Amino acid sequence: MKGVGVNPVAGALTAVVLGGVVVGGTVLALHGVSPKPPLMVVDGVAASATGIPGVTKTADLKLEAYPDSAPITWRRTNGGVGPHPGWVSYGPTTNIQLPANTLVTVTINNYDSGEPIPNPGYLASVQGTVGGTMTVDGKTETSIDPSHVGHTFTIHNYPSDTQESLFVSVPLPAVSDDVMSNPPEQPSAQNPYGWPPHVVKFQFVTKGPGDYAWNCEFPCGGNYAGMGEAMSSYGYMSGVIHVV
Amino acid sequence: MADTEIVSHGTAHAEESNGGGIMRRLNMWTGIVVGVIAAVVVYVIAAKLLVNPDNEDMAQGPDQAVIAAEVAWVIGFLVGVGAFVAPFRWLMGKDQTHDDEMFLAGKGQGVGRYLRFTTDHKVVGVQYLVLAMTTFGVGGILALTIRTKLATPGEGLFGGQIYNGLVGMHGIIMIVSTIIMVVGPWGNFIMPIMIGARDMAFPRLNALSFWTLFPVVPIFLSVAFLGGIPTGWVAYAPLSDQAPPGMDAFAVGIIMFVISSGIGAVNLIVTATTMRAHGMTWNRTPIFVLGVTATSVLGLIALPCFEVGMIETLLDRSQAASFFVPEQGGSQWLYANLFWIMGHPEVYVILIPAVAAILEMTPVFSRKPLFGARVAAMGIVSLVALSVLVWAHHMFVSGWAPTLAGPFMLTTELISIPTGMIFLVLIGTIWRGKIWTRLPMLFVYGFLWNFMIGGITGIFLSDVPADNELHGALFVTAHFHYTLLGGAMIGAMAAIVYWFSKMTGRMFDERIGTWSFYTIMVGFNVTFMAMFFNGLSGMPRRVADYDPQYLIGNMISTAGAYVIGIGMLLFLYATVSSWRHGPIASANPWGAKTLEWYVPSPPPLENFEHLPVVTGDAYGYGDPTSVHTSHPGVASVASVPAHTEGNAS
Amino acid sequence: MSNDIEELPEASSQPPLSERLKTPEGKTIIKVATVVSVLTVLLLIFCIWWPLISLPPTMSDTEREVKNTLLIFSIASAPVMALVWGIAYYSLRHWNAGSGDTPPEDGPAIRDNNRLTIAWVVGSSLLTAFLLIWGLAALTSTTTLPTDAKPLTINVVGQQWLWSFQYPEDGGITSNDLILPKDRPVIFNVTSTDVIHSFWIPEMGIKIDANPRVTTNTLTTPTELGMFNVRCAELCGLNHSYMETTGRVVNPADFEQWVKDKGGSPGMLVPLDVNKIEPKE
Repeated sequence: MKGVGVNPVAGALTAVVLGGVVVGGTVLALHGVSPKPPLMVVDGVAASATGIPGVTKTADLKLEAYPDSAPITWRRTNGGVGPHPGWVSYGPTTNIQLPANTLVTVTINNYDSGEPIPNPGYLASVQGTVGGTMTVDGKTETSIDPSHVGHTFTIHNYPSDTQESLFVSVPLPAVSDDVMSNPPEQPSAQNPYGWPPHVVKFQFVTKGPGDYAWNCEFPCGGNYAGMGEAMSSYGYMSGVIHVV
Repeated sequence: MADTEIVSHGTAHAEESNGGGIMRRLNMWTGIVVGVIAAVVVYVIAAKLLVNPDNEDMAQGPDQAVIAAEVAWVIGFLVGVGAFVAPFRWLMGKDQTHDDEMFLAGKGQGVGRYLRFTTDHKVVGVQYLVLAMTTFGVGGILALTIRTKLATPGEGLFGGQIYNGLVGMHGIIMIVSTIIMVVGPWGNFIMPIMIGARDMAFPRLNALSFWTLFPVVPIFLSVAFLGGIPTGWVAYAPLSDQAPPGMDAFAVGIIMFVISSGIGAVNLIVTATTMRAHGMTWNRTPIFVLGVTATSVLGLIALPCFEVGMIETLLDRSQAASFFVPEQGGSQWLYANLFWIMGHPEVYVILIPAVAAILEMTPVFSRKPLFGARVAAMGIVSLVALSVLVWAHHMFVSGWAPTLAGPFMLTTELISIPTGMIFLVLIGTIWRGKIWTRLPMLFVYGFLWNFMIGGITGIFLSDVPADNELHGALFVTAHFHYTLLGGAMIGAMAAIVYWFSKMTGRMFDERIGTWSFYTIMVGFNVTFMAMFFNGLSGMPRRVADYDPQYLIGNMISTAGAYVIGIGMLLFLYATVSSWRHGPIASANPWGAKTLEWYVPSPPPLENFEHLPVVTGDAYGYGDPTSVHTSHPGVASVASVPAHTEGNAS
Repeated sequence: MSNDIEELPEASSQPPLSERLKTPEGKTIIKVATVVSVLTVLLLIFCIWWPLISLPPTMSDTEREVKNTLLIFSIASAPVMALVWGIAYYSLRHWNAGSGDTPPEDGPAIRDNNRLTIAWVVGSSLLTAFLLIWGLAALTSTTTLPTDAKPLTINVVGQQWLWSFQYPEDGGITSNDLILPKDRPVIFNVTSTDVIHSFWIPEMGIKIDANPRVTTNTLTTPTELGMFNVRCAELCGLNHSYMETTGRVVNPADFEQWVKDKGGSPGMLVPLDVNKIEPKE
């Protein structure tokens, strides 16, 4: 117990050290309990002609948008898939590393249903991609039906002294409810749900190195405005893109 | 003027009293046990009945279960600590006997009385002090965690979800701690003695006000385990509607806190108004008494608005009400107004007792009367009156009522005038005094420096166009830390050092206390001055990550925060070690004149042998004709202050 | 000695000022005045330096108003701080009675000084009045448009955690970057689709909350070309710190070109109803 020693200097130093230990312990404990989605590293491949001046590499990023967290392996513990197995989730992870100055081709499989999206004129249209377009199940689109949006993939424009701006926003069309209630196949390793997802493909160009937050902009969570629960919890529908 | 007629009969009842009944067995631990059992049982039942994730109509189930469990914790705790025993026995027709009252007052119980439902105001004061300092320590740990996270930009140690929760917890724990920091310990311990009373007007309510506050702290700590809060302590709607169940626990905690402070405020007001000693007119009442009374009036009026806001938030969250849900006809501005009608007076509830303590100490350490005591009184009353008229300066950018921007700018700038009066009184007292540079006086100087900066930056914020630039940025954070931490907390620490000997019978270790003072002052100014610069440069507040251009300022702030932490730990160590084996203090080591310095340190159970008679105010330094009391109410002359009357030069 | 009540009775019996200043009391006043003056100068230097070094680059008329206001308020506060701190410091140096164990002997029993109190209250009231009048003038100038102005209207939508901008007067285009033409007043109609956000441009000194189901507005006139930041200044949840985007002030010709590149028509009014966005229940 501090203070027992007769020497006040020793006692005071002990108090300071103990206090430091408590603070350090708190910091480490918080770091320990914060969710840590594993880093998915996507490497660039040298390409002869990307069609974009100054860009000599290509990369492929594959993501999935699931209607619940069952396929998320990094959340798996002995008791299941974390405390909220029913929450929507991006997979396999939300922590992504991409190479700089690269033409990135992104493929997202959306297995989830959807509803009307707020700010439809903006969020139901494609922004920031090469050509301003994406392909949905093979068909080229510049926007989708705003009343049937499943999720979006939106990278925040977070410019600063040390990184350039990068803004991409792509809506993901919703799987229809009939298809979800009558899945044509059995769930398998490739397709955990048995119904065909909408396959969305688009390309964007990374610039200089930096860290960019990204999240879904569709209110697919709970509570007020649908932006609570999964939408407000780290690692479900939001993450970080490290451009290195 | 109540003279309670209970005079201690010398040694006849010195041994342990026989009264108390079941209260002999009930204490804080039984309270915790009963409370935890109640909370767990209620939560299990409520979860079974109300929570069904597959049923959309029962979406509010988790919120309802959490509310039920937290309320059960409070009620269970109060039952277990014995708060309802006396009303229950009164219903049964069993009134309290004298032995019961003596037992409840802690007679003959040693240290155990601090863990029981003890009515003695001195015990309640110590309980408040320990609770306030403990909560302040928890808040400080959270602050250092926040600053560690903010030392560098980027994802770092943890992300925005945990960070936002930390910020909210730090805020509410510090607010609760600083509200009770001076009024709780010294309004309870010192104020009744200072007015020549034996106890407060309602001793059992006094114990109730403390024990209603005690369960609030675990409630706020439980918020972290229920998903945290994403809103900061202001809990703005509709973000509060979106929050995880931690928000419900937060709201229950606030409701209980406001109830506790209401009980305490009523008790204090009645005590100060009706129980002053013979001859103590309002003109002869020490400024500290006036300060804590004015604070209690202000708190009683203002804090319930927060309670209402939280009740309505709970209804929105658990019963799908729509007070604050715009899509269903509610208004987010309703919440903002309710909150800030509390929020502005609340900072004066924090500030005024500390200012009153500083005003009480400055004459003692300048050996001069309080300069312009009536100006000080007028200043405090004006602060109280004006503080309920300025709340919308927190809402200048909200878009609510732009036509009221001018009037609220007027009232806010007007508040600087009574604040200026306080400075006039302080430097008027110091001027030409005999400055006795003991540790409390160092804190007075620290207050003068910090609170001046805090007050002036408040004026910057009161100007609407400037507020358009500064609101929601780190400038505001620096401003309120300068006033609350640099002003009110420095005053609270001064009060701890000043009245330490009266409360514990030992002198506060001034060597370590002085190291702690300088460390805190240096660290504090480094931390928050850097924040002024960062805030003006455009860094928002409550952000987990920031543009790297703000890196230098943040690193400086973090370094300063660690220094504050060291200083606070030194102060804590000095407090604990002085309490355990500091040098024994005389009754009046400061040569002060207020009534509490006439009684032994620590005071006996009923404070005075005979109730004192007051003949003048307590600031008669340098004037032999001005004597505070002719009948100090104690038998031995040795406890009369050993001051010398110098010539009025 | 006439009975005019111009002077208080004692004043006529007081020696002239130069004599009074030579008494010990007068010398004290001079010494204190010196300390306060030196401190005023030092504080003035700080008070002028610190806003100039911290404020973001001034890119609009409202920001210029903010900068001037902060400078004036800062300068006005220097003598106030110097007065209080100077007197406190002087007292500590000159009348220090040490930190001994026993209380020092008492000082003089000065309980009040009515003239000083009145002077102090009057002085602080005048200063407050000045700051208030300045503030009201600044408030008026930043919230009124010149009568001949043809403002550009931009709808700002804040949502968790993104800003988007609609140009209803230029063909209804939407954008993530806020592009503004120089020297043309712009009115921002701001709203939110979910919780309360706050639309803030530090370089232009404007900030207004984005509230759900309500449209608030603010106005400014960009005066300098360049880049600026748009930030959110009200805690809005998980990614509040990333709710940031860029803006640029460009020449009017470049602005029209940008509008056309985006697929709009400069000047074509498309009455976009800001409330057409549907917040989810």
